[in-house]
Amino acid sequence: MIEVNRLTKSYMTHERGHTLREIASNLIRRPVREVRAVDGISFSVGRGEIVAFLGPNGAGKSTTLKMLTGVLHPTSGEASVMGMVPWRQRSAYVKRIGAVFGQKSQLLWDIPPIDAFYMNKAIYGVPEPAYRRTLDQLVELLDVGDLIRKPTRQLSLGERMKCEFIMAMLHQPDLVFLDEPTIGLDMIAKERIRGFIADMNRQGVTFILTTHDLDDVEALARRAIVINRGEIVFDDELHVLRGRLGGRKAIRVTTETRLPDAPLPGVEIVRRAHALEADIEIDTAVLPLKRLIGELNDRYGIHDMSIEPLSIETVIKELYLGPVERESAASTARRGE
Amino acid sequence: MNPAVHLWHAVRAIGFATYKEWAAYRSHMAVSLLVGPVYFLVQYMIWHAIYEGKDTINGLTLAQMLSYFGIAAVVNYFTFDFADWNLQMLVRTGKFVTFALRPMPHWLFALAQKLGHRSLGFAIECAPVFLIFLFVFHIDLKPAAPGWAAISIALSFLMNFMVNYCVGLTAFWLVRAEGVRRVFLLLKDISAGLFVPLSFFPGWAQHVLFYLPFQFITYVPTRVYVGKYELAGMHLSLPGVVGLQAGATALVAGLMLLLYRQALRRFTGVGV
Amino acid sequence: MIGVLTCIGVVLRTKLAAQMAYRSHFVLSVLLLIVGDLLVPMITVLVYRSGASLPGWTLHEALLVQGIFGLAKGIAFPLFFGMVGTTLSQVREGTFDLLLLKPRPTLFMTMLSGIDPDDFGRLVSGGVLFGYAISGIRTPSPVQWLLFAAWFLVSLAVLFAFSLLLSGLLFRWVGSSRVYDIFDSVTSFGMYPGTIYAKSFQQLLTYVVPVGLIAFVPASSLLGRAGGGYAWAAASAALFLLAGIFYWHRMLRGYTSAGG
Repeated sequence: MIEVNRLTKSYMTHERGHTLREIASNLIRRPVREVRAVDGISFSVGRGEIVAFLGPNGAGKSTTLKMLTGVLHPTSGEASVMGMVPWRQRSAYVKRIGAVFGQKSQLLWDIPPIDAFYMNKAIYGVPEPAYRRTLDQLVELLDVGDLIRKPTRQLSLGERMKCEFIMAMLHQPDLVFLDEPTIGLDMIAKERIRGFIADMNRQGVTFILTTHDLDDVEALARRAIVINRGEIVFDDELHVLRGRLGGRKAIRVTTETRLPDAPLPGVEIVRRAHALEADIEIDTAVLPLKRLIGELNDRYGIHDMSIEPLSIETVIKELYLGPVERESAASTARRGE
Repeated sequence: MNPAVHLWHAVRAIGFATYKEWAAYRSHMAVSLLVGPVYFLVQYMIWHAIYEGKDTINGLTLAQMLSYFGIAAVVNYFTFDFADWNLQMLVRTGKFVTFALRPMPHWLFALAQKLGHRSLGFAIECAPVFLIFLFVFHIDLKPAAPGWAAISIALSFLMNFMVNYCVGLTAFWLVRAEGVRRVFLLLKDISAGLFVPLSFFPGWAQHVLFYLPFQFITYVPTRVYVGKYELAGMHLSLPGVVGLQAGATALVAGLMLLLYRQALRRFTGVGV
Repeated sequence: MIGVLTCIGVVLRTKLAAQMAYRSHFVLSVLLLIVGDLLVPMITVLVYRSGASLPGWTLHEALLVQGIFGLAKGIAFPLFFGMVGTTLSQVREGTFDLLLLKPRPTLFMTMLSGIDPDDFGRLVSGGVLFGYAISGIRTPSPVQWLLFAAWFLVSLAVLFAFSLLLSGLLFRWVGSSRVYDIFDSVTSFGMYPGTIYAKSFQQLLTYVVPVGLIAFVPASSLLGRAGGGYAWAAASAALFLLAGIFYWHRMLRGYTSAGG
């Protein structure tokens, strides 16, 4: 469905000062710097996938998505989506894709969503019977019933978001780009939206999901692409991401005597809750659980203990940070108390 | 579906949605019922004072002068436009991207919006103000040749939109050009003859104004309405001046499309 | 007082810095603001060029009124008229509540966040016009200058009252930028010598909606034409200002108790 090959986007940026003197000198001359927002990335997405597109702010995520939606021309590289080059065949291409932006509404604020739907129907040239059918189906799936006849401004954020989805899906796109689709929603609304995305996916719609909400990712995506500093640092199935954690486990332990900074080989203190309670991380490949419990109990006396698998957040955080930053972040955490 | 039919459906749907959208702000629009007559009252009093002891100024009698302002104001309410404001807002907030993702050029979307917005404006501003001028101020508002006047006003409707849209397009290059925009539009209004008939300007200025597109926004339709066109010493017949107006409108349309293309190239980062 | 001035100074500096980030915008907008303010004077010149005039007023005298109008706006707009814009956008977006959390009077905070250095550009257009007009009239005596200074303060008070009325209106009438049109249209009476209006209308413009005090009366005092009769006008301006302050606070109360 999507084939991306060595896609690159660089642009020039002005540097700005903030002291009065810099501001004055900026009037005359502004230094220019080249920034590579996206640096030669390649990947492919198959039909019917939900791929999560992750990365810290400013990593090049949205630049990549803009190129994939056809609104931004790359500096170099190629992409083919549904057999088209998005930025070259933009008007034909956009008819077949949909987009939902959590922070850019396509609805019309003062009038009911149904009027905005009707407008999009005309713009996309959706025939009446197909429009009726799709609308009824979407309205039922999202359970918005009469809401679509109330002025948009009177709807809650969650209700509005559902309508944004209808707006984006009316022309039955095969590929839908989602940008922070659950931002600001409460848990129930989030679940509703996620359920809807999963439903549409089962009907064959491909989704590209950008978000900072890892619960979205875990609930929906089977695969993730992590981009950092313009480059892809991870592109594989989520379970591989989890696998990176290897035999690592997170353990919260309360002891009778205070744990020292390096209690045992293979054990890392992540955080100290208070003097006798700490969150530790162990690598079971180095130190099997059985031995850990035994030795910990012998030396410090276990009072209480709970063991959990590490969340993917940990891995992603590590991917976001470079190797050097990772080291210093870890040592700050250890020092902390 | 036939592309022309599809286009018509789309324009109608957008226009209708815009009409509904703005109907929520009827009270904002109805301010014109105060502002229009107040401005006119100022003009009315000033020109009464200025004409004291004079029959004509620059070839216009007091009655003709007041007709000019009355017609200009009504035409202005009919062709009123803020495409520039809308567009620069979309660019500044990044919402333009949602339009770039729809299979329709934004300028057409904006024009359809204007049609919807002005249909409402016609009912709330244009027609009532016309009636106030006619019955409260007793201004002569009878068109000399209704057919030519209608064509001329329709062309001015397009011209005003296209000039404003071009101003809005500058937002792709100048991020915060709000002040520039405001004052350019003021210059546009001056050059269009909204504040004083263009025949009041010095001869050289009239020659310049003759070759600018702005006279076609207010001065030309107002003069066509009255039935007598004259600028820079040139007297044109109604078919002549409306023909000229049609040509100028086509030219500016070409310019707007060119600028739109360039703006979109910039937005999409072609060659950057 | 020092605190107030410091606040204004700091805000002015930050806004200036923000403007510098868009320097082309800043320079152009100041420049073009000047052009904008010269619109009515230009029409006045065009009228006089055509051999007509505002009866009883020479071109310089008529331009004096418009120059003073520009000067008054040149002080009012950058310093406090921006409160209209603040209430316009912040009440609509719901961010006005943040101003209520600041440890200073809300009115002051509203004014502060509306400060706009761009608008000082109007001082240039007003000043140029004023200078030109002064050069063409009989040199005013020191007493006339003093009187003018006093009336100019009254003029600012009237503009302040207008800002309060419009800003207050926007608490209820959310997001209507048309208030600027109302202001422009109503005050446009004040850009011309008051004597061209009918007597009763003049009174209306002096005592009820005192737009005549913005420029016409200060100009008259410079020309030595302001008789003692205008003393009452100062009182009406004070009343107008009080009404503005009262109205604004009433509307603010309405806004806060409605819970935004």
